Amino acid sequence: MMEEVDRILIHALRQVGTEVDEDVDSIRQFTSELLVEGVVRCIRVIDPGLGGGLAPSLPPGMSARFRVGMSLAQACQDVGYKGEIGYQTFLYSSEPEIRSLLMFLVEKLPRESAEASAQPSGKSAVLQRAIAAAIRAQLDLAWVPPNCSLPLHCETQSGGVLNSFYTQPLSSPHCTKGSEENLKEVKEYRRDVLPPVTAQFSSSASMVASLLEQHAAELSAAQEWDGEWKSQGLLSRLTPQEYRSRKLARLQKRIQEQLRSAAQPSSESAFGVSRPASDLMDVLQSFRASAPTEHVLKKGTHFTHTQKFTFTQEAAAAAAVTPILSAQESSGDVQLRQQEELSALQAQFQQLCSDVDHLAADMRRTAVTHAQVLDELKQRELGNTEKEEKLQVKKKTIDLLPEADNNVIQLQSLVEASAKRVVNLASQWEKRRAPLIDEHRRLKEICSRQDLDSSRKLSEIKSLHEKIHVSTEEAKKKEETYKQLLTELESLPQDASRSAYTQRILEIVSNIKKQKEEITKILSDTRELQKEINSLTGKLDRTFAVTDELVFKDAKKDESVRKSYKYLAALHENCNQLIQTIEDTGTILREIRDLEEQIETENGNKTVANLERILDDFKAIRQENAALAAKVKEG
Amino acid sequence: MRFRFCGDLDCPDWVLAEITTLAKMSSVKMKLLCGQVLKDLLGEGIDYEKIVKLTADAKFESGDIKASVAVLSFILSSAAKHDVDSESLSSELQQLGLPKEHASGLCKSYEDKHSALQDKLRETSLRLGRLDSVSWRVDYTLSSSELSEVNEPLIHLKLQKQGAESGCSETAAFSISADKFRVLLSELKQAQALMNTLQ
Amino acid sequence: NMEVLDRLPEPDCVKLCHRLVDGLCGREPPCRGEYGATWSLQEWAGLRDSLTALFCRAVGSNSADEEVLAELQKLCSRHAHAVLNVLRSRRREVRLALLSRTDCMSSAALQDFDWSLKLALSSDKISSLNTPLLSLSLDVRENGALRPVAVEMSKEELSALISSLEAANKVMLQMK
Repeated sequence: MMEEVDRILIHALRQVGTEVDEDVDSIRQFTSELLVEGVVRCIRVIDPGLGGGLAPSLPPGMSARFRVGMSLAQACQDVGYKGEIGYQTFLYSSEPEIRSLLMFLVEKLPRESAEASAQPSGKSAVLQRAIAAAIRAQLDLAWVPPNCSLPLHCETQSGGVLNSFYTQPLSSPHCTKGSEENLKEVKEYRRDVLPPVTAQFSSSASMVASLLEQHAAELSAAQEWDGEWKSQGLLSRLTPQEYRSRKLARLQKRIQEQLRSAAQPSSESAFGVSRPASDLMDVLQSFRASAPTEHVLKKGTHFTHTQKFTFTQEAAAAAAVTPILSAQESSGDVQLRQQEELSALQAQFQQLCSDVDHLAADMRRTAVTHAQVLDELKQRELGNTEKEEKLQVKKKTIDLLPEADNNVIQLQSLVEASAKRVVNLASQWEKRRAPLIDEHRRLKEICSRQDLDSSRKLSEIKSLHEKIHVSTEEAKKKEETYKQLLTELESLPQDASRSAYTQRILEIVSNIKKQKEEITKILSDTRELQKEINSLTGKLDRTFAVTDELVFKDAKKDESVRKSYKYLAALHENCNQLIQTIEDTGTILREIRDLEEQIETENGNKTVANLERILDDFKAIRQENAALAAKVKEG
Repeated sequence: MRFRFCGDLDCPDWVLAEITTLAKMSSVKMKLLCGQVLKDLLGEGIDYEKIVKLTADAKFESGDIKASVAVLSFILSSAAKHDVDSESLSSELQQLGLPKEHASGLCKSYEDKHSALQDKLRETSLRLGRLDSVSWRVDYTLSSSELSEVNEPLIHLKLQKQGAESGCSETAAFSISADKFRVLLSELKQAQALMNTLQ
Repeated sequence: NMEVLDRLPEPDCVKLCHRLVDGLCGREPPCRGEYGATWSLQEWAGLRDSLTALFCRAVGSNSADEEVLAELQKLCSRHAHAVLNVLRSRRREVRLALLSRTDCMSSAALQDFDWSLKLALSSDKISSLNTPLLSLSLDVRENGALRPVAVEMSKEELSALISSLEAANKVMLQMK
């Protein structure tokens, strides 16, 4: 029985973190060191505040050992141990004492693992538990002012070191791509001038932020490009560069068209004809030309022009005025005159401006008509040359007319010859054509085969991409579940031999049942015996009463009978005494047994030996003290 | 004594005192009153005239009426706050001296509106800067005073969020460069993935 | 007034130009104190401004090397080539800086953002809230001053935001 208890105790101690050797399987084998370590660890788990100050190992000096033992005993009593305990319990341990102490401590251990296993497992539960643990840990720490906080507090109580996320552009050699990469100057700059990333910032916090941001930007760009390339780029069967440039060109074309269609109505109303913009930049340039100072794509109007001009003029006028003012001749008259002049000039200027604008518009219009006229001219010229050619053909036929017959025959022979030649050429062409057509067909076939091949490969690549994607997702998911399971496993109680324990407990229970049955049997036996005794006593009493009466009757008559009566009475008395004595003996025997048991337990406690040991310790401490005192004196 | 519906704390004295006021009403009337209080808690408005009529039988003064409404709203909201089931609420109210019929009537109405009440409480919990609406626009910059050829998209975002006081809304409108926008989007997606693992 | 650059030996001139570009890109610009012995305050300011303007202009209008050299003809040829080399090596960075200036031209532009995911456990209204919330804090540069904008989003609000940003991203993808 005790072995079971010991095993449970040792298991509990191991769980708490005590290093119990594999071959130790009962309390009897415990050394003082092991005991002290186990008890300290238990107390630490039960009450971290109390156990924090206890050392889990025994120091060599006697007085130090004594102190450790005393503090441990005190701690055990603080935890609530009621039994007898002192420093000797740890140093000169007796088995039953240790067992009862350890049983108490193990009972006191918090049943966290049991609770944990009862809780629903799963990710949210794990998280909740983690949160609860973190909050508990934070609550356990005392608050200290920030400027005297220990590293321990940094995680939870720091307030000053938080930085806001502030990024700056940074320059690093890897991030450039493209044609610039190979420029000699760029390489030299990177080699000689570019400071390391850590030296580019004034504060380290913004460096971290900038690096993170840069990384995120590049990563997301790469991912986005990857996605686009897989979905559209691959199908276009172009190289990445070609794909990009084509996309850019398409976009520019689209924007150009939109701009043109938006610009046309307004420019038509202004100039009467649309501008032939051949390029996007031309379109832009055209806008610039009409609104030189405006960066936004907006047509400069009359109003903005005049406004600008007036503004500059005003500034000029003001500049002209200042010297006069500095000469301290600031009379209202002059100012008034000047203002009038100014406004007159402004009006004049505006007039001139609008004139200029009108003229410019006129010029544009004439330029346009000029271009139109030029166009027409060109067309006419073209018509002219055509007509001239016709004229020449007709002239030749007229020249040939006088010798018509001869010429007709000549022409016929010529026609025949050419017809023959045509036939000849046709036959030759046929000869050449057949192999060419064959070749063409063959090539076409090859082409289509390659087409098929490439599309097959494309689809394969696509499916591969998808597969990769799916498997990475799966891998991620599995990893996550693995992690979760791992955390769950860690939080699970580690005694795998649960069933074995229950079995043993069941065995013990059945044993106890058996014993109980035996006890009840013995009890019933005793009761029967008691009954028998009682009935016998009753019988005896009754027999005695009857005999007594009979004998007493006869005793009056006969002397001898009287004598016998006397004997009877004496016999009865003696018998009674005898029974009494037997009963007394029984009780005394029981007492003796009790006492013997007590003696045994006392012997087990080894009080005498312990006392002797304590005396020895006392002496040792005294010696140490004396030695120390001597040292002090010497010193 | 500790009560679950008070958050494992002792019951406030005024609640204890007003429970006896509640006991003066008939249980049917009290259940109707409960319905009114629940309506109030769910934000559907409360009909004070009806309450006056309901409490006329018990000859309540206006102070008593106010007290009974207050105590009912305390009990109901506090029970919903601490997620107490109706049976334990009933037994705890009976411990506090509410007659059995009253307690069971109250708990019946509480049970019916339990989840709605909790949803309402969850919804009205403190939140900073709720996002109301998002609008965006993508521009394509062709050229600028700084650079003659830009050819980069630029995003304008307008976030409308609820301000500190309910009802008023603040708007934040700003432009984001393409790179920053991409980073923002990918970061937000990461945050969303993380958020999904939380529930 | 760029000719005063000739007073500096060539390696120092390269260094100065690089640091001016650094300043253009948002890092620490050179300070006058280091060159106090070489130039007067006016000369320094003029040189600094004209060099910076030169870099900006050259990158902004994508001018060829010859044009830049033409602008630098007052300098001795070694110095002019040094400046040109700096320009050639930093063209990309200057372009990026100018691009970000272009992007910030509107009245308000997003400078930085940060987010944190929080799990609200409990509130005064309900004891077990258990709602994840995403706080998004945006630093918006508005008329030169940073204005913080903080938004706290529930799951639904976040997904609404993301889906609308996705739509914008789709449009943006076509423009690259």
